[in-house]
Amino acid sequence: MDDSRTNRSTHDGPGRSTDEVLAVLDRELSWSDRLRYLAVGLAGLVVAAISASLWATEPALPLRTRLAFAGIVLLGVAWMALAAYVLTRRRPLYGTDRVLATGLAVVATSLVGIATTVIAGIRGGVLPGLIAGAVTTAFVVTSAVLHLAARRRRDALLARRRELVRRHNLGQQP
Amino acid sequence: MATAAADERAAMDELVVVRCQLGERAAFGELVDRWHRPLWSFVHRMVPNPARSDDLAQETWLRVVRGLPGLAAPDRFGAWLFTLARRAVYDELRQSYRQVDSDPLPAAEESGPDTGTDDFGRLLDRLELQSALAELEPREREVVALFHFADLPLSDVAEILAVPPGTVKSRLHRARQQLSAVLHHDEETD
Repeated sequence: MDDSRTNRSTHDGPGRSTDEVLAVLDRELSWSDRLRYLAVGLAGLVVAAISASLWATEPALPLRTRLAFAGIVLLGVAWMALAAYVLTRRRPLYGTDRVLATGLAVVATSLVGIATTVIAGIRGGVLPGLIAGAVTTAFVVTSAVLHLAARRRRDALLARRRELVRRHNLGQQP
Repeated sequence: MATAAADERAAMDELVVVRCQLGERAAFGELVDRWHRPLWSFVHRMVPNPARSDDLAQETWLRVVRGLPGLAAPDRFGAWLFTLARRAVYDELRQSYRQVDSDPLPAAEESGPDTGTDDFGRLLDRLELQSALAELEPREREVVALFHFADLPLSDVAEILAVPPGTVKSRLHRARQQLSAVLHHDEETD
């Protein structure tokens, strides 16, 4: 906390106006910042999924190569974890944004999952293809559940807004 | 009539919170506009240093922005906001108690008020009250700040402090007695 700045506060009221408070909050509410972290998470998913499928379907890799693949997969998972932490704790997504973000996650996990399953099937055969398909299904189902929860939450908020406007005739457009 | 007006006010407050939770940027301006002054007022009664009060109010707003999507009951926003403010204040108080070289009377480091525009007598009364408040224990000070300065109903104060309404009443009673004693003592020594 900075004490060195000019202090305009008195006993009567705050030293910072609403606009000044909002200027600081703007960074926290920035949509572009959230998009960046969403992109980081999705990139992590792509990197982890493709590296894991290549690693699993490449026969007789030397130890050093396997360690390199493990490192890349871990890096991808770390990006996903970082994005999940930021988007739930530091820069949480609000109603409408969350629907959009989880929708993007469904699309991305489906596309990456299908690509990974195809690669695994062609290069590794039936078993790696089935494993990749199962992992893909788990990812797609998880993101779809999150998407449905986000839609339910947004719909509940919209309904509450309509109800408040209707009951109290508050002049807001539902 | 008064109840209808209070209901209307509560509905408008809830509507702004719901719009914020949906992600409407314009609603955040209305939210800050509505709550910043009572928030600052509470914080200032607890930490009577204007610069610190500004920082703590800002810190509380950051916590609001981070927690608002998860707030399950938008109609309880006021109580939630002051709960966050109380946490921020207690974090600050804990930190300042740890600092050996900190000023034990924070009221003494306040900046001078603008006497040119305010009524001097009223200002002196307020300064006296502020100084008397600073002598109360944090537990009594916060109940006075929430009930009298942030104008929150007893039930909200009880929710924020996580105690039954009866305890709030007894703390208020005790705080008023202590304030009265401090103010009378000051009068006698003057």
